[in-house]
Amino acid sequence: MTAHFRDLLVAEWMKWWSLRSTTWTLLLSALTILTVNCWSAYNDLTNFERFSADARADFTRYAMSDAFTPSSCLALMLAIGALGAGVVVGEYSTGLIRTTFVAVPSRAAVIAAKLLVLLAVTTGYGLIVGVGSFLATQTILDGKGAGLELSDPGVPEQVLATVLLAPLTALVAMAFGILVRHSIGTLTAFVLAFMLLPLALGEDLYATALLSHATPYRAWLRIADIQFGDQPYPWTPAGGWTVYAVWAAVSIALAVTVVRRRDH
Amino acid sequence: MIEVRKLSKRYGDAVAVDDLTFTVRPGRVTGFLGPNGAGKTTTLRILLGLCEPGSGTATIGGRRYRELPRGLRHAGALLDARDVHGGRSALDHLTALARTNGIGATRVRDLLDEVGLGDVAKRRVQGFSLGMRQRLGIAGALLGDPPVLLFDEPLNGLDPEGVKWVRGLFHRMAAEGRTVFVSSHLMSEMEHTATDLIVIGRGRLIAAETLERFRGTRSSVTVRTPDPGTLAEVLIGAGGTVRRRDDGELSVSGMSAEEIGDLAFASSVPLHRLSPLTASLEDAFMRATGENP
Repeated sequence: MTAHFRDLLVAEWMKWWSLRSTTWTLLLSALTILTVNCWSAYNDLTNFERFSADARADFTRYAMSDAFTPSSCLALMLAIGALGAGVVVGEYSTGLIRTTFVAVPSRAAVIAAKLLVLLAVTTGYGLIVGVGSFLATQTILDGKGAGLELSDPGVPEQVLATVLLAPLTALVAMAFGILVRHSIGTLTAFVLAFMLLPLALGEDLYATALLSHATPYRAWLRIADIQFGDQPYPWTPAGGWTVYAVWAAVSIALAVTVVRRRDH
Repeated sequence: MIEVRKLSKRYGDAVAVDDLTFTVRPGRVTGFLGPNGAGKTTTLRILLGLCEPGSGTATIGGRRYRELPRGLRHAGALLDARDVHGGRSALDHLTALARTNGIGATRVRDLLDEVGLGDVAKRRVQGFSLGMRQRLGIAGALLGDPPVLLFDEPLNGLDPEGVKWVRGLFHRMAAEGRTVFVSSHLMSEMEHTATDLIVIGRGRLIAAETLERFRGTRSSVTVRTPDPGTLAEVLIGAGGTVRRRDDGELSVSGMSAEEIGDLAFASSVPLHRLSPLTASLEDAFMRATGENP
């Protein structure tokens, strides 16, 4: 018997779409994100005359902020985090993981298939909400000639940070799920460490600034959002990309190592 | 063929499996018996590569299960009927499971019909009774048409009709030459299910023999004779175990009433009473595992 990795990918793809909650979560969160961002753009449009003359002359920072607002970023993290964790928690909490590993004793192959399907779906989702939000909000802002183009300087990098935040979040949540294995515990740990901690850490102390810069949410803010005001401990977008890469690598390594070693 | 050699496994200070050695042969239904916590589930999980053994080996078809890239064509297993995601339909669950091993949709459909879930295939599993989940789990175990089948407490939650169906299935699978290994903590469940037994208690092997022999060696025959001394000598000489009771009668185990009668006749010892005491399988099991009945 030959073991085709493709079969594992197809099986994981089937498993992903055969849960009703998955489709609903993707749809509703995408709609929420688009609505929130468009609403933000619409408010800037109607209040356009109240901005200072300088701001109106170069509206880039406001236009980029509307393209993907911090609150929509948190909505993405919550929705994709729940789905990413669900891929493994759904197996561990029900016991399905044992059925899966009896069918496929090669655990590394199972995890690789899960990771690839998760990355594919969430990257697609990131593209739709990231690029979709950008295009929709800038079209709205074009009402006052303030919209940006995808080809404008700096824009591709900022949109890319938003698109890739979806697969990164999914990876991290999956690693949390593998470590914790219970649904409520996983979601609590994920929300606290991945979403609330970066919101709580201030920029004034070196230690908290350093720690906060190590979180993906702040990395996304650094790359995708225009910085307002002076910060005592500035950092570069390249630093933000490094944070993305390290979290992704650590999550994958943890997931594979723990699953291969653990008794089930 | 299932082979377990000098298998041990500890969880912290607790010993789950202790130097266990046994073989399960093809073509028969073998019961895997022991009280709760005896180490049955741990042994099955080690066999299926879900747990690492502390020491020793456990193989299916001569190979360590963890080393197989795909498992369904080597062994089918139902460990716990709840090991399925309730949010998926029976059809979706089984289709995805089959696909991991390159097994097509036709086989899935056929099996769902065979286990009697054809009509509810598109319903979500969370609405299934335990009995229906058992049937779904059995369908999953049969997907790859494997030569070895392992079941952990498969009769739990089944109605009498279901029990009859599962027993019939086990016998059919064994008749086709497969190895069928079925665990239970209830001796009575094995009575019409298994022909061979592996009995364990506190992680150790207690017996590995046919069910008939397991019952037989734990039965005894009460004998009254005016010459107990001579008879005891003869019976012990023939391999029996003899215990002299307070009332002067002999309690003999390890041989049948017929054998005892023949031996007494040949040695010209008169018998006044010859009374076989057939232990129920349950009694034999309780005695063997050291649990109070």
